[in-house]
Amino acid sequence: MAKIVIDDRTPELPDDEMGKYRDFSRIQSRFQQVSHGIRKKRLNKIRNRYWFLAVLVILLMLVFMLT
Amino acid sequence: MPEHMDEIKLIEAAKKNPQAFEALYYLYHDRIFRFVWSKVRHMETSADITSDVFMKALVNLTSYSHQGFPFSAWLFRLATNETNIYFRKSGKEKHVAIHPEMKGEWDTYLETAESRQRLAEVLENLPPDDFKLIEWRFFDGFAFKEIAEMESSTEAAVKMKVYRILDVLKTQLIRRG
Repeated sequence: MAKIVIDDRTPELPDDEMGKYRDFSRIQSRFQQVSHGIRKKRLNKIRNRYWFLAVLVILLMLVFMLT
Repeated sequence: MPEHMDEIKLIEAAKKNPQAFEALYYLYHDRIFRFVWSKVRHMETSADITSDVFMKALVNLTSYSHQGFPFSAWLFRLATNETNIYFRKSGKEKHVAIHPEMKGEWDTYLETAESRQRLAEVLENLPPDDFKLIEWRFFDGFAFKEIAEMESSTEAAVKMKVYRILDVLKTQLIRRG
């Protein structure tokens, strides 16, 4: 756990300063990046699964042909 | 219409369309920012952590289900986790102050620099989950009801836990003289 320092009181937060950071577009653009990444990952997962199944089918066909 | 019904509607709308999350963002931004700032005490860092909180809320919104607790309870829980991650990664000191309404109970432990230091050391040694409850109650000044909402628990269970932790704290402080 972090080192704790106990102060007498919490200093005041300047309200006008806080307003500068109130910006939903920042969240929105980050969300778009993340959701794009998630979609890409999901697509790769499906693609990998199809490749795996294709290789499995070819292998099974080879086994049947050889026996 | 009750306030929480509006909130549920906003949450459901945001699940379908992330743009609708904007209303929830502006509704809770200042409270979450203030909460984070009271721990971090740095504007840019507080802005980053607050942004991470809302980002995580938006990404995980589809798995959020309303269980009768206010949405803010979930956001405060996320904010607590994010600030803890920040302190763990940065290795910075965590400055806390007893909430003005709670001061009476702690006066004897806050009289001198040494007694404050002793209290800080005892708090540092608490299990993280126990410290979280003490922090919410005595440093952030949350009511037991609000803590119960954040913990998805009952008020009575939270009260019992907090008093048990206080007993442990007091025993350790007495032992340290």
